[in-house]
Amino acid sequence: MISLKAYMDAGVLVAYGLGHVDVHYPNAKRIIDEITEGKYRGVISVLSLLETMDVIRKRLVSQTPKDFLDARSDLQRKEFIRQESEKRYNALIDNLTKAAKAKKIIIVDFDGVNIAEVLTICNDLLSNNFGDIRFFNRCWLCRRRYDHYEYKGIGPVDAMHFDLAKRIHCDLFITTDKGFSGLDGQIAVSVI
Amino acid sequence: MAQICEKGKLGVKTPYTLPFGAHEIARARRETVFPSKALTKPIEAYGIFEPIKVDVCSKEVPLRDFRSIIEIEKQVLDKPLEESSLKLCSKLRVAMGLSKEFEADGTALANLNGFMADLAGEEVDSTELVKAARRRL
Repeated sequence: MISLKAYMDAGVLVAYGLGHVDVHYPNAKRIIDEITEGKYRGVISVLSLLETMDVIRKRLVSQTPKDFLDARSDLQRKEFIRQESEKRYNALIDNLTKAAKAKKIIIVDFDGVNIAEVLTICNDLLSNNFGDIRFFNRCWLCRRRYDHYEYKGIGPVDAMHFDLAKRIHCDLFITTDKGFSGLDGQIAVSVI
Repeated sequence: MAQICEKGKLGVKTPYTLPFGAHEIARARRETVFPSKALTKPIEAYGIFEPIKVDVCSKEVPLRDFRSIIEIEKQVLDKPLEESSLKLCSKLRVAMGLSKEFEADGTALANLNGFMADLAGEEVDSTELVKAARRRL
């Protein structure tokens, strides 16, 4: 039985972790369900795990009530966020490793790869794939009205994800990032 | 270990180190005619060789044989990946203070459903969340 390998970037993991409130959740759930059913093999990189860890820490700080943090010293605040984020990250690692052992997913990193080579490829990807200048009318942080333009395209970390997916011969690249759509063809790209 | 170069779409020569047995696959591939353009897609996805054009080849391979070749290729290429994944799993678990020995669980991914839902707040877009996290690094 041929098992296709589907690389998932951090956005897919984060969307699944955040649940119904995330706009990408329904598609992320469908993908995870299909992996669980054995329709294809999920590929998760250490890069995605690190990004997820970063999102967890930052969301924890922004979602913890200000009064709660105000009432604590800097050391206590750090300790609280560290413990809470580790709890979640441990759950993530525990479940992903068990799924890997059950052959549902593969966890990969850049083991044995020359970092200079990776950066050269990322340079080529970024140089040859110019993104879009898009108009937005909200601030991403405070959500208030704020008319502005932003450059949207693949960044260095995105390029590293894509390079890694190519190196391990993935059949599909699943992402929440529209910037990848221009790369369809080298690997089949699925923007959810 | 066989080292083979690929001329990618962007004109960059990328060296790929292939696991044992890959050079046999390479030889088989050079002698193989792919029955249709659609079926060359999985081969392109490997990113190792240019797909072979049907019009320059004289020999045809039945679809069943073609699928077998792909399947053998997959097994050869995926085995080392599988082994390194399990080693990495042990390292990750030890680093996070979890037990090194652990059971396989086919439904473990489902347990991650909404595991950080309490951090979501209002409706969010995970793409922006990840990008915002990167911007603040």
